[in-house]
Amino acid sequence: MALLALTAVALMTIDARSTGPFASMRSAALTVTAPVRDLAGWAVRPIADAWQGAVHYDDLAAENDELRRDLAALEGRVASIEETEAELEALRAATGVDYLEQVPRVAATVVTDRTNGLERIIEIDRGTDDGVQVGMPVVVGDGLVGRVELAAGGRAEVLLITDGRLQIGVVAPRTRALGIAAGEGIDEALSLDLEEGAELRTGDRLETSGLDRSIYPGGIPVGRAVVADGGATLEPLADLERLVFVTVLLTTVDDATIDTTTSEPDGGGEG
Amino acid sequence: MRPHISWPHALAAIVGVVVVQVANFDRILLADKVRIDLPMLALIGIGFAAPPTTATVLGFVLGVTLDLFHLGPFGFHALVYCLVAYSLAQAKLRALQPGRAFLTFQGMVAAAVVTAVVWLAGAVFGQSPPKFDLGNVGVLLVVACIGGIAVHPATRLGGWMIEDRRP
Repeated sequence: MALLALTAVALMTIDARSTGPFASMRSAALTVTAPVRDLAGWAVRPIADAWQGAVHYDDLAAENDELRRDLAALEGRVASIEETEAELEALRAATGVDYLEQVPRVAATVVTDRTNGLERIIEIDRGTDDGVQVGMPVVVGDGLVGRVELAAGGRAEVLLITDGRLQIGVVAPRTRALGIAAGEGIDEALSLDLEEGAELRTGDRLETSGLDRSIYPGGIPVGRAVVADGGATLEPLADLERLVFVTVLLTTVDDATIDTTTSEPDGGGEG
Repeated sequence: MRPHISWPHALAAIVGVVVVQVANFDRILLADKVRIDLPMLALIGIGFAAPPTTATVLGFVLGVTLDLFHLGPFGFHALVYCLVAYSLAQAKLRALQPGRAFLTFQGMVAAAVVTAVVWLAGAVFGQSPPKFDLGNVGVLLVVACIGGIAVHPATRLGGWMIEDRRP
């Protein structure tokens, strides 16, 4: 027993120091079992959908009502949004702050969304064959979703920003306040560690700072601040509950210093 | 003679359990945060069916296989599962075994305790376990009920992984 326990501890130590061999094994397991898992998932999906429908019927009915209201409101806002977009395009052309558009990207479909209680992983149908590499940021239109943690030929696994292992250097564009957001667990708001004297209000939008040590390019929306009792948390802007399509920004730690929104020395999360 | 591991049975059961878990049950939440955890149930079955040394080895192999499909520290499940399998097998050796009802009770307790231990270990090793609150006590109660029901087939599965060579 002691020997096996020590072996397990040794495996964890090796994994902590160098992810190479185990990442390869995990990639191989991901690739080899993908057809079996897809088949098993396809076979059980009707049952799972029926179960989710039965369990969450009230939620779905309420969600439908909410979506109808949202649709009506959105139709009314389309015209103003188009006008705003035109203004934004003009602003971008004038200031040249369009670096995120320069980052190559690849769209992906979420094929698996699973949790073991300790971590939530989404699996996407793009991998190293498509240029996806470990460490690349994954986003949706609303903002940052997570980071590629494992990449194989045609598949990759993504850790969400709510995971306790992710840290993100953030900045509040309104006040230029810098901080580090860290995951606090599945369905939990991110904790926010702000620099000394930083000014922040509830509702302030924060985005990636893109500073030196950050693996994310600057300017990706992350969340909205909730300030209370002298502390602050961050509610993710991206709807992490219902991820169907995502976009992988094909940039890694080596070329993440594409641009930054500020030049202060602090605030770059280690990701 | 001591029971020995039937490796073809053990490997087939372990790989099957882990793949089915990852492909299906990790995606289906029965209630808010409750899911059926086949590897954990298999672990309980192993702990209840095998002697301590055998249970530890099988727990380790089950944990390593599970580690292949998760992004946490490699070896995390191997460590926790081999320790839990050993503890369950030791407890089983020392516990009274008067019948099915008591096995059901043991299964309930084991499922809740193992789940809590995995959460605790996850917190120690930098993962993101659920925060301990009243809602998660409810989760543990539901998990215990699942454990009580599933401990009977799980123990049979554990017995299938070993071959008892006693005459």
